[in-house]
Amino acid sequence: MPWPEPVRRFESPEDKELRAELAELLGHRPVQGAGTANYFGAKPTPEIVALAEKLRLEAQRRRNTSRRRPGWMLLAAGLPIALALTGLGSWGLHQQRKAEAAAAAVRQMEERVRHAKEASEAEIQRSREHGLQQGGSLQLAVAPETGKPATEAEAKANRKGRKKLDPYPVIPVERGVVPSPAGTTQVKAPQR
Amino acid sequence: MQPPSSLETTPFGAPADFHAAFAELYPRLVSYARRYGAVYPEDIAQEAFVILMQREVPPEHPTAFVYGTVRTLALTERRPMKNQNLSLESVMEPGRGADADDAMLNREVRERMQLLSPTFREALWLFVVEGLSIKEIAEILSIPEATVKTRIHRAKLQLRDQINPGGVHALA
Repeated sequence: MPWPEPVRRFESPEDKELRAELAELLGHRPVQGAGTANYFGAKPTPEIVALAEKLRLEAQRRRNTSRRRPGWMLLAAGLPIALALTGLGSWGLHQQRKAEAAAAAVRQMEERVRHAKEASEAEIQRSREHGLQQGGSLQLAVAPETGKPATEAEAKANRKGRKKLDPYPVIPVERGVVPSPAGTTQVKAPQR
Repeated sequence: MQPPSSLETTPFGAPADFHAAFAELYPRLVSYARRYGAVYPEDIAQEAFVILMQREVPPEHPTAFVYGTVRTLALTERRPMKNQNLSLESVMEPGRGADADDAMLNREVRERMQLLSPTFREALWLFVVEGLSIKEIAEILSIPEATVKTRIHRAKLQLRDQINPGGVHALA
């Protein structure tokens, strides 16, 4: 009995017809000879059956001896890699945080320097203004000697007579006669 | 340990069915491997059966599976890197294996087959000589069924041209 093949059993009539037509075009007929006696639709010989059985047992042996790796083994194999990746990731995160902190510190320092610069500039500006004002007052102090008022306001006040610009009166004192603290008078020795 | 049911069943059914299928397919597969220039076609055919039986889930078309496996193994054997000592004369294009056709085809068929292009010859061989269906051939060659049909129809046109050179014939 030939082995039934389901696909060919349900082959369409068109395909069967095409096959027959092509076989005719080719001139193909099953050759009857010694070499093909067992090829088509032949009953299995004991040798063929023995070989088939041997192959079937070999397939079973391979199926039984083939090692199926369980899931936990794959997991165990992948664990070191996963750990290494996790460690690398955490180290990278740590490095990133450190870099961010350093960048923030640098920003703060820059801000502080900027503030200090602004403050010093303001101080310089203030002192410069103050220096200008002091220069004006110095001129005022010098002005009585020259007899000219330093500012217009000063001149106005002078005109009104509020402030006198006369020099202070000086009483001339003889140097030879200096009263002692005890009430005695020291006289200069007569010249010889 | 496999359950008893899986030990007793095969992709072809009961062990007796497997024996019948093996008796029919084995010589064909040996010849098919030889057509691809295989040095050890018997080993390839037997290995294909073992691979088929080894599968836990049997394929939908076992015949196409073993043909496809034989084709793959034969082509792998022909790889130059794996067969450094293989002479070029023994490595031939598919369908031109040394003495592969002698056992199955007469001289006239052989000559007509030789005149076809290798692509069409392979599909025609599987369809007419091996008696496989379009679906099985598509599975063996890993191409769509429509492509198989196209190749077979073109092979038919080439055959008609051989018989009636310059003649007018309808497509299909």
